[in-house]
Amino acid sequence: MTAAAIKFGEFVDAERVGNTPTAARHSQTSATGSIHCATPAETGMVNVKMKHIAVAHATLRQQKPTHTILSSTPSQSFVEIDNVDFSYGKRAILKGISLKVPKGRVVAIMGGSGCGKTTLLRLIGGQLAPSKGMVRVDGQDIASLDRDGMYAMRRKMGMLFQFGALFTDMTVFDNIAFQLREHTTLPADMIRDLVLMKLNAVGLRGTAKLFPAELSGGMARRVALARAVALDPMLIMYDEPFAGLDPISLSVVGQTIRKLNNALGATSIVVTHDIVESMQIVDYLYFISDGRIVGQGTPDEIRHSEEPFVKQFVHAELDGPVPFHYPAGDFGEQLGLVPTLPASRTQS
Amino acid sequence: MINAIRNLGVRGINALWRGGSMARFFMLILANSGMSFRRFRLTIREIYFAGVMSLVIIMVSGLFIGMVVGLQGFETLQHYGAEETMGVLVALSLVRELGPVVTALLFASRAGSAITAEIGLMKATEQLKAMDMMAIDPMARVVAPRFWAGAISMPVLAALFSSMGIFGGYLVATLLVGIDSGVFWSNLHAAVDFRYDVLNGFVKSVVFGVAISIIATFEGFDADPTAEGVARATTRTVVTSALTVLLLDLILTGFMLRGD
Repeated sequence: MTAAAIKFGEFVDAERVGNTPTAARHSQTSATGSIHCATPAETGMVNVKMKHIAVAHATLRQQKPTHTILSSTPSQSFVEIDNVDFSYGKRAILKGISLKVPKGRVVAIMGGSGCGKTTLLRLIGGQLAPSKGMVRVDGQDIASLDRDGMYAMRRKMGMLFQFGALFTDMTVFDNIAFQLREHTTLPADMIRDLVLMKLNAVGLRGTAKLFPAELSGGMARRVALARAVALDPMLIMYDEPFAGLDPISLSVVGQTIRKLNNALGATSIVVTHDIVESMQIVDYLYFISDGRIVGQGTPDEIRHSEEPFVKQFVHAELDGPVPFHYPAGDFGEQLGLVPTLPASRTQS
Repeated sequence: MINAIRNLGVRGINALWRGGSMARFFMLILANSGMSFRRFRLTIREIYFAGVMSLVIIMVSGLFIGMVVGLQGFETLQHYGAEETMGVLVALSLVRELGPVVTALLFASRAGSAITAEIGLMKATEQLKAMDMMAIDPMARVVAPRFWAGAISMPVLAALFSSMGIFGGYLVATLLVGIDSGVFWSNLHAAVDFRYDVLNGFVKSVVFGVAISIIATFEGFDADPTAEGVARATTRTVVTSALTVLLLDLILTGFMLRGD
């Protein structure tokens, strides 16, 4: 295996090695352990490269403001939503939602279209403020943060948007390097190595020079995924990551979400309505309907749940708490098939 | 009748709100302009797209307008035997009025609409939201460099337009009409005052550049995030910019005239 063929396992090693400055010193051993069948010259080159990358990661971690794991330990929940209401004008979207996302877990938030899943993500990301209740991320009340505080918090977050939201005037490489260039003072060759590692982790190292318009939907989603984790965030949010993907891309994206979460030791929230894929990759699921949480549990508990909404959703039943028909008048009457009684007889 | 008055009132209030929002937007641009100068490469890139890419249309238009003004001027001046002052007519028309105004109209159509469409599409495809979620302020990273690029490019383009126009007038005067080249330049040199004509023209082009850049960036940032919304915003940029430039030209000319 050559340096150009570093696989996901090695990526994980480098990530973990890079977590602490002291650990960076041991990166050489770790990297050597993951290289096989290489010539001494190649191994030497790879060792230097991996050490180089580990130092870059250490620098990256050091540059993050208030990046401490301990701050969220009292509750062990990285995200806490406490009795939150939210409305767009007079239209209530969320009504008294409370949920917790434990640190290091992948949690899915599910529900039908328009039930408020994406709104919930925006509340967590601080793009919207709740009309009632509190959203806490890493122990901090999001709504109480000023602009600088909010931006410091967002540097701990990564977000995958529904359609990727890649910058169309930049190559894939520049898209992923964007945050590294904006937020760090790492030299260009370190940024290059980090970007290639992120791209390698999603299997798209070969697309570095392409523009987003040259990628398929699934590839664009994976590039967006690599961009979302560019700064090794503590919280990764996914907004409908499986929408519009073919089965292969869907599975690849799903597996990548799980592996990235494990590799980075991050916490992930996946907003989706793809029950099959979610059940395979998440640790816990919440179901939202009509602005309220109507069900929750591990994938196993959800599979055997008797909660009517969850049952209808999981088994894709046509009718149930979510009616097949939008409220309307009597169908027979509308078609003129039911004779209406004359007014005089009705009164008598 | 009541409805017509009511509609007029609603439109008036909306226009006032929009004007207020635009003024606030301008303040936000100024407050977020640090990055545009600290990392001047960002602004340079936008100057390339807004300014350099507009060079062809601006220079060719300037050349032809200068030639046309020269020909029309000759037609009138020859009745009074003053055709030798054709250079003066061309130069003053261009430097004082046509240069800044026509350049501004062309700039709004070519670069202003492109800025609006680009920012609008970035909004529609959630690129601005993504940037904001990455803790990078879109006002500082996207809007301010485009604003400054427009404000810097416009006076340079107006100067080039006027120069090409004068050159066009010179070609008509010397090659078609047969005016002596020395007479053309010496009359022009004697009549054009640097402070009163050239500097006033420059001030106008700066004001127009700032106005178009505010309108273009605001309309893009404010566009509805749909294909139709971006199309409407682009149209609004061109129309509003054109009307604003003409109104500002009237006001500035009023202030700048010596009246002697």
